Amino acid sequence: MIEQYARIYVLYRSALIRTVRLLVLFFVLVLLYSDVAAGLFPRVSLFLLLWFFMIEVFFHFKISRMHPRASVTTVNKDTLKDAYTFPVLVAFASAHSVKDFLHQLAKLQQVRLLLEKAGISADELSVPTENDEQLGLYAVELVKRMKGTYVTSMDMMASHLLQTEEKTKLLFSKKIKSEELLQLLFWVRSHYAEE
Amino acid sequence: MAAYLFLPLAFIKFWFLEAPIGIINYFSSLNKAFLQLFSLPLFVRTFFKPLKNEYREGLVGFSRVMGMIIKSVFIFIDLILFLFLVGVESVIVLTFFLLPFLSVWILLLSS
Repeated sequence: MIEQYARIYVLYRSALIRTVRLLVLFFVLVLLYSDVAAGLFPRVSLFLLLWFFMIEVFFHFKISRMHPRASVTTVNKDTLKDAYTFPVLVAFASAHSVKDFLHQLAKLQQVRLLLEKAGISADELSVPTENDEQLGLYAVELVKRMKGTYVTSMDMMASHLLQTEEKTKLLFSKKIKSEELLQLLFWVRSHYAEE
Repeated sequence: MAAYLFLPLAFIKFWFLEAPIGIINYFSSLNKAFLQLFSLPLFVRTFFKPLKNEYREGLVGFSRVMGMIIKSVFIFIDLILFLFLVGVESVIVLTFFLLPFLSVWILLLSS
């Protein structure tokens, strides 16, 4: 279910729906103004404005803050996504490929911090050969090593960097050992504990 | 698809259960901070104690009475401010809870 909510959230934040939301707000405000200017009580416009507000509150405080259903200790290969945090699921829902998924992750502030501290730019993320399941399994193992509960976007990125290191030598070229990346991950995870 | 169908139910659960509980928890934390900041529990606890911890002979009675007078004033002001805060919080919680009904009521109002 949380995966479907992530898809709804992606749709809700898409450019088209954002524009529609903005137009609806504009239309309602114009209606409100015209009612007030005509000396009428703005019944319909107030009703629409209140529902607009309630829906925005619902998406902002409920949908975008959904918690994973299971912890990394309880998931298996088939239920991996139950331990993913909402930003990871949103990135999954909005991506068409693993490469796209990684670029979606790289847009997040916490992942940007991890990459920045490692001296890696988003453009340097190579096309990975692994699929998202392998990425997830490795991330779950990382989280278990970190004694964490859920798989965050930072774990996913670190998982990708460590998994593809043999082929890309990206960390080696940045003079970073895998243990150092894990220490960095631990620090960024504690810095962004709310995820 | 199921998520789309359950969206209204999720909204109802959020609006009438989860969000009010969250708001009340937030306000209770705010009230605790307010009480600590304005020292109301301390004034009540030390109401009968002499002012400035005065225990010299002959001054204890006066300090107690003086302390009670000063603390009474402060407790009264604190209580007024606290009641005002609780009042504002209650209005916010009630308005939030009743907003869906309020919107329908506004719509059904005769112009």
